[in-house]
Amino acid sequence: MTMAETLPSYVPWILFLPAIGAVVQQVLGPRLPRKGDFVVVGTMAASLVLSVAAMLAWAKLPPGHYFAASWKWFELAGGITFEMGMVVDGLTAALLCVVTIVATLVFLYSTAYMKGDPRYHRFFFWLSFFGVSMLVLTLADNLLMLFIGWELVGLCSYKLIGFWSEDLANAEAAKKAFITTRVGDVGMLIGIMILYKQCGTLHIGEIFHAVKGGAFGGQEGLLTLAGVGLFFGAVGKSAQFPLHVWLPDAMAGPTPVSALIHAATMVAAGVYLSARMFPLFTPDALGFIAWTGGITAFVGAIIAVSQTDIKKVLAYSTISQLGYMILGVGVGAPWAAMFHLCTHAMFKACLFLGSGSVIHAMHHAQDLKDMGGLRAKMPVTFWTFVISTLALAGIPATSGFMSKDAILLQALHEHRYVLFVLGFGVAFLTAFYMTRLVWLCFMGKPKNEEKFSHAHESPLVMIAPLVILAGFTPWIFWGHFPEKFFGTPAYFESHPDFEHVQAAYIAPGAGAPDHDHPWYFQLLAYTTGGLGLALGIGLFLSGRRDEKSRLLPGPLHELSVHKFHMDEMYLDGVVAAGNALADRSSWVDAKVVDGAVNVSGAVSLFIGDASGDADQMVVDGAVNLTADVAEGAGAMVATAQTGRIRNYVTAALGLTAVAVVIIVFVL
Amino acid sequence: MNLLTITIFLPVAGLLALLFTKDGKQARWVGMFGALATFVLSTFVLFKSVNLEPSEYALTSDVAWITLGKFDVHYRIGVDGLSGILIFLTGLLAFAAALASWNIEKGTRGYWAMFLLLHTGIIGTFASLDLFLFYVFWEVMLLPMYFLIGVWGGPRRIYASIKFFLYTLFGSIFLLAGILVIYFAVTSDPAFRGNAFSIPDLTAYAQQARGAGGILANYGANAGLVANLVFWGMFVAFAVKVPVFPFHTWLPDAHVEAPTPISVILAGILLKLGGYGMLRINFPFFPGVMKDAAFWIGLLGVINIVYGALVAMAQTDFKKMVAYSSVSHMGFCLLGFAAMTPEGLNGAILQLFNHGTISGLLFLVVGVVYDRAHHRDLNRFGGLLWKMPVYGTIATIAMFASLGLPALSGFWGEFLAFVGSYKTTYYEGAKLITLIATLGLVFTAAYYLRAIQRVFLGKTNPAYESFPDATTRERVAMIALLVPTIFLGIYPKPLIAVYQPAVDAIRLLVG
Repeated sequence: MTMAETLPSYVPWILFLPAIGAVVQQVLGPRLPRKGDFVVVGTMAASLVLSVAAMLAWAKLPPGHYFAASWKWFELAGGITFEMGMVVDGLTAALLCVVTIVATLVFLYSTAYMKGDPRYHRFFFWLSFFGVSMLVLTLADNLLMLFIGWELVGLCSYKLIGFWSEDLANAEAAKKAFITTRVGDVGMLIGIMILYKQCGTLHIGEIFHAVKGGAFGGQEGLLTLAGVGLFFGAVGKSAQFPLHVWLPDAMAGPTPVSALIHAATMVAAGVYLSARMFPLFTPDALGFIAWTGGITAFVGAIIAVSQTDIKKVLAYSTISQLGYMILGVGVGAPWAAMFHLCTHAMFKACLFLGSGSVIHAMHHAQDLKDMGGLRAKMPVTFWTFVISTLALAGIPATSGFMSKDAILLQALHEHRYVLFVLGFGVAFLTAFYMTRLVWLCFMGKPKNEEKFSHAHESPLVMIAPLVILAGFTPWIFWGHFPEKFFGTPAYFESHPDFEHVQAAYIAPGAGAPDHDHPWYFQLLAYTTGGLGLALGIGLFLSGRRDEKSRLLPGPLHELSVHKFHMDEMYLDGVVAAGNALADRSSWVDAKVVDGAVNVSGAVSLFIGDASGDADQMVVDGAVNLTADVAEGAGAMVATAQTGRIRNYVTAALGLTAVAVVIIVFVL
Repeated sequence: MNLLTITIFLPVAGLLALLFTKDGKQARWVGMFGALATFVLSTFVLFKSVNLEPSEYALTSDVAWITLGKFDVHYRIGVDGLSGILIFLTGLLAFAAALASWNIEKGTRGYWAMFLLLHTGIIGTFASLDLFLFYVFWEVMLLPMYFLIGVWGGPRRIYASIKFFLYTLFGSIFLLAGILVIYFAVTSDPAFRGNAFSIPDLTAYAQQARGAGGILANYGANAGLVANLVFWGMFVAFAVKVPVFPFHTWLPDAHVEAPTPISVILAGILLKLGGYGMLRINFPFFPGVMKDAAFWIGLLGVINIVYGALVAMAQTDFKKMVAYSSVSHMGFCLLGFAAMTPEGLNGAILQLFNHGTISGLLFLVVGVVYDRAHHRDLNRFGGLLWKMPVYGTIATIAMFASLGLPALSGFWGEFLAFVGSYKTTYYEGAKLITLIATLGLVFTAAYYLRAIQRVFLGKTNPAYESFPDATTRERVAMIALLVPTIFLGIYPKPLIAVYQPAVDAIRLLVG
């Protein structure tokens, strides 16, 4: 059984400290030295300390226990209350630490990366506001608060993608991100509405409890719909196919933003939501989730192979890896999904910050055609990048190997063979495209001598975060991480089929029997990454291939280069249809609805003023004529006294009198 | 003397004071002082309207006014939480709109006279507990608005003002007809013992006689039919104000032509009178009819939301876009009304109040840029954020508040209206209606983000390089509306607590 314990009093400060930091920096920032960036970095670091403290305190609790507290926010007639509440269980504790670690490092990194930007002050405000919003989302024990955080991280993402909106392309990217994710949010809202109606509460634990108690009484389909609805939020936020199109464009934002928001934390929120709400998902919903994840992983990896922009490669890689995580949820291993979320956050943040270091050194060039040979000039960036690449490629002894294989093993055990094979195909591609990226960026000869000659290793505040993040990649840190953290999340005891869930899905090593690893699984797991790596090195070692080289067979290459034609489909299909619908509605409004008004105006004028000139009947005509004469108050009064108004009033009053007489005396 | 009476007629006192002003400058100060005093008094009224029982009114006053046998009209006023928050909103917007009126040069004395008279009409309508008095104030409000648009408006002001006047008149005729029919019915009904114009008496009688005809039970066999006619007639009267599709086309014209402060009041308060009238008169008088009408009201709500947003998307005039966004957002009120759940009603009432501050703010925002550029074509701006950072920031917050972003006040109304509407069992079909309404969220995001991009982002139009940021006066006006938007977005409880007894009463009477 799981049990709630009193929330330690410092936990809310995990949230409050960065919030205070954001406000102080926003208000006093311009007058403080360094525009107050240290306030933002400092409060986030304090939040990190408190998060670790909360994690340690939680770890001391007996298994299955968690911290929780809630506060009444407002009360409606009929005793309906809405609450804000926080919960610290394994899921929260792990995500809290990941978010605050990556955030602190990215904030620190940004002090150098964004140095000299005219809106440096603004940048730090939005960074810290993002941190606060993400922590709201993480700590929430109810769907209302989670939704609030969810929307606010979307706002911060919008503001930061479009941080350099002097260039309209960046503004476009920001807008695309917000609207695309909002499509997913509509699904999430629908899920929330269904759950609220059926369960009468938004508290996650109470929802599970109500579902177990028969809140959906036999309406399996509705429960599936609620689950898929919530998951739709994740499809938008976590850039799952087919709503993934915003994430590559989101690279328009400054690179630290890409690392923090669009790789490590916000985009993983969908995975967290899915893991948190896991007990709700019916088998049908899980099937939908698994396939969404699998397809996303594949599509992302295929596109990543032919990208020529260093950040775009990483962006498609992120889409692909998020697909893995979602696949993990879908095959019934939310713990493995969360595990991959945590390991991925570290090495992908490292890769993005590494790419930022390169971009910084190359004076904001980010196309692979300008790079090559940077290994010699930027050794720290190079080595941390390589280490993280190995983790992403799933090479044995790295964190990525462990978490990715946990997901794929579960797929096998759930008899999802197609997804299992697809998963290993993606693993192979991942190793391959990352090798390509490392090679084109760091190895070989410099392709742009002029830019290369100015390149230099980044300052300490930028490379220190790289080293720290790369330090999380060895498997040793993660040995007992999943069963310790994701063994029995809060409220899971309310799962309708809890014993089954606990035995089959959650916490290998925490009582449940460990899955056996068949020989072919082990063979695939240990060799796939290496094969991809070897093929990549083999192809590029000669130096004859560059970033434009054709690497995929026929149709796959076309799909990769054209990104599966998704952007065109949306622009020519959905966006065009939306605009056409808007234009048509506007036409109807002006011509039909308002036209009817003018016609009825004409008719009543006719009744009131039978002797009036025919050409003055339509309001437009009458008005335009009057307008020529009328100027100022005097004319207005004259209009009221002598003109049309009186006729209308006469007509209207006459009609009313008739109506009242009919009603009073006839009916 | 009754505080509420003072609040209602204080603007008239200001109007009298205007007679003694020598020039526009003095008139401006008198007007400004009048608006500020109204704001202060409305705050006191708000504080008096808390902690009431359901159907209990504070600051009541009841004086016989016109007595002709059974035709017994009283000056009967009072506030509950619902009218309390709306009177406070009126005061707040009067203050902000007065600041925005500072630069009116043409016929200044006349302008301020109309401005003040308008507020007497509005507050009087909210405070009336007598149907006839309600109607009188309702019409009092109409005339100053007509002149404010018609004299101080834009190029097509005459068309817009006449259209506004006639449309509202067309609506209020139905209201008058309804009042008369009710009067004739209850005065000949032996079971009715109250005053034929008293809103509380009629509401109580509607409870007692809960047949198909409600308070029109005296019509016997035809009671159901007549009740339906009167219900829908009054609904049309209020629907014109809200405005409900298809009675909304006066609104974009009126807004585009009205001067900025008048747009603020128009969108911020006048639209709210429609929703208020429905809650105070329409629904409680005819609970039986309401049950059958709910589906249609919900349907109109979703049409307002989705259709309004679509039309807003197609606009290139900044102000017209904001005007259509009002059409869309007022749809949430209908959605919430139709649901009759505590969540739905709360969503609707929160939307009444918060749309008041947010749309008021948005019209101030449009006004600021119009004052500088002298046009409102969304395609001709660009990059203003870099030149006017304070203004741009406030404008962006206002638009995000309007698109329902959490932590800003617009969120709560929409959220509660959605969950309340989805869960209702009050009428059939609510689920489907609510699901369709969620589409509005995407369209709304689309047109606001597009507007932000066109006006504020990208390269600055060289012609607008020299635009000064918002002046202190403009900032004070905008911040006055921004503060409740942010505060109530984070913590809506203080507002919710004030009007909750009114929600209880409505549910008791209608639900």
